[in-house]
Amino acid sequence: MARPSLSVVKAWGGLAALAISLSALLGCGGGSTTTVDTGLSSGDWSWQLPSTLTPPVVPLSNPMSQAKVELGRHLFHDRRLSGNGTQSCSDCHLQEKAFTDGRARAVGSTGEAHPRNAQGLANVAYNATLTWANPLLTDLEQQMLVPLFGTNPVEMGLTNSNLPDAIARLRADPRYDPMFAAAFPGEAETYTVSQIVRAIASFQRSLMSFDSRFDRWARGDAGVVFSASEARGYQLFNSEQAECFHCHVGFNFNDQLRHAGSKLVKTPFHNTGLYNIDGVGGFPLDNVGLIAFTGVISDMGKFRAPSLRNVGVTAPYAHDGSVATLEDVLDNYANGGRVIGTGLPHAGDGRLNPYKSDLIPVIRLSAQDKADLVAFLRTLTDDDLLTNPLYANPFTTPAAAAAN
Amino acid sequence: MQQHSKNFSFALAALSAAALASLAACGGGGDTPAPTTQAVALEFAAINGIKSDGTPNVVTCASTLSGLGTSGVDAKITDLRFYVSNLKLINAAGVEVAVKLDANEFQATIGADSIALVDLEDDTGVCAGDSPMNIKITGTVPVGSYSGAIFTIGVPAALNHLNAAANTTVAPLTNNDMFWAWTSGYKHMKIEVNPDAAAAAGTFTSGIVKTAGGANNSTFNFHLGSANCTGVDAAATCGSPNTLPMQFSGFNASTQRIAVDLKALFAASNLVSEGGGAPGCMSGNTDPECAAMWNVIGSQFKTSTGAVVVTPAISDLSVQDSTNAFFRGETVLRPIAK
Repeated sequence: MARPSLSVVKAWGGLAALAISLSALLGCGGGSTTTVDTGLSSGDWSWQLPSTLTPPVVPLSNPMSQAKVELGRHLFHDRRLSGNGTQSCSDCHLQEKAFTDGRARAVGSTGEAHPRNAQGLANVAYNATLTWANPLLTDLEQQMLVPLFGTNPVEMGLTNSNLPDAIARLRADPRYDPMFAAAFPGEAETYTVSQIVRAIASFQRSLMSFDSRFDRWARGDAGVVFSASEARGYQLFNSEQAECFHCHVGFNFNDQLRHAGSKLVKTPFHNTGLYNIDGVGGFPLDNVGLIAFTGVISDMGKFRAPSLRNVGVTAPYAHDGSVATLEDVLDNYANGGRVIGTGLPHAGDGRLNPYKSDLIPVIRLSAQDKADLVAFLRTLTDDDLLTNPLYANPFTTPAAAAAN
Repeated sequence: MQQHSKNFSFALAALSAAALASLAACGGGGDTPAPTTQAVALEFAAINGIKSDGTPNVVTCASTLSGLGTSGVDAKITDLRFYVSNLKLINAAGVEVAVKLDANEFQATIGADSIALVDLEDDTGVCAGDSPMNIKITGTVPVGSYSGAIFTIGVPAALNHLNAAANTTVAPLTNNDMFWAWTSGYKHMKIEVNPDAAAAAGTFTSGIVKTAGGANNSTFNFHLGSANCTGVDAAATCGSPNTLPMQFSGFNASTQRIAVDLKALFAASNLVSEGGGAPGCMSGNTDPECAAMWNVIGSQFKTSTGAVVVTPAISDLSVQDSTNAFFRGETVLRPIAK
């Protein structure tokens, strides 16, 4: 099987391998009980990463393999894997939108609206936590039970009752028997929920995005230049004027990073002053953020800072999709929060939210600053991620598409 | 143990059928050694209060439950499943004796814990669970007489946060409907009802008006699960485990069963109104519907300041807590005759 065609991967070099094994050793001091595969390769799998990067964490219980990734790709794009056979994972995570769906809020297989915005999946293997506000979901395998079986809201809509029918639909496709056998050799049962979950998780871990114009510019590829606006945006992004880099930091442009060499994994969540519906910091009840998990009042309205990779194709923005454009995002930051006028839903002065991050009030941005920042952010779009056939829907023939 | 002593005077020290049978067998010949264990079954039933003749109003998916909640609405069950862990009986000496569970798809012994899934719905009619039912927990105890039952509602902490998607997970923890994956655990209880709608009486759909507007909801959910947790997998700890220790002194498993009274469970809830957050109460600490639920099932209220009124932590109750209606055996869970 062909490997991801990331042009960044030219040579690996012993130096990179040494750095990785050193960081893996250092990683042992963290006191974590999680057992992870810290290797650059396992079995027939090898991570195709820029030489400067340490591989992501992979649970020992689900090592990567090409067969699992390929099975996972099929399952990810297969509408038969839903309660009523109408929706696939990829219906809310579209490759051409960096695995988001373009909606403010996702819609599940039964038509039920999700309270939150569908998140992108690029580099998801590097995320320390996986959803907008849940500090407890740290493995893709566990997280996947939410969209598959969750009832509030219904996403894929699988239940104990309809699961046998969904499995039967998969079994009826002759492609799956050999793929399950290859992905899970030695496991007597096939088509188990555990196998489906492990395969899709493996596929998700394979979704890497490190070949944006920014990446090529940063490593000095010939002929890749930034415009004056893009270059100034990059500088602003990393300045104490715009403050972006505090939360959108490092190679994945977020502040919840976990890789195979991580010594201390932090999982901060932030209130950016989007709401203040009751004058004392309240967020709409269906999207209260971290407080739903901790019960700590100061965690009201705190959400995870998403990676900004491919942010140019993942509109609309924020945990509830309530911010339409990148320009609007920057306006909210430059204003120190969002004001929703009287009479509108969720009216209130988010600037006065008492739980708002300390960094928000100090951001100052002119119109030119915002334009430059947006210009820079658009350089983070990775066309390889959006078009790589290894990530694509395999059900592409008209007959398959109709059947699926 | 001392809390049981007051019940001993009226404890039903009945020998089980198995023990009687073993006595009879001993009289017949000398070859078969007397059994050292006897079978026990703890049976459950859903009820909707008491009928006019004083007997429990046993209900199923087919029943219409009349007069539920503060609005007195008719309703139908859509789901009624819950986990029971670490079942023990109290023997004649007042000692708690663990029931060794039979191995089947609804129950298992895992490490130091035993766990069973009680399933009182069959996926018919409005019910939307799965077709198999499991109305009783079965197992064995040493031969003897027993006069009480002790168990915990919910999945023990040691099992609750493990990776449910692992291929090592065993039944009954593989029941997909009981996953409470958003907080890396299981639903300890999943009890759901559909109230009837005034606009379309008899359909039991769209009967719940949202105060914020929009299309009506159909189902009032009560999902009890551990909340306010930190850490993952085996390292997880929860500020509100929301597992409920129960004890029934003077309980005789051969003549009695445990009722789950939905009229009592929803007594303080307005089932036709949804004030926001999760539909019904899903153990959320900011959910307006949970306040009424906690009150009924024996919550302590931990008042916070600011926008959020309460942080429920029902598991902090001792079994003697006078506010714990579950434990007192007076309302939601209580023994009734078979």
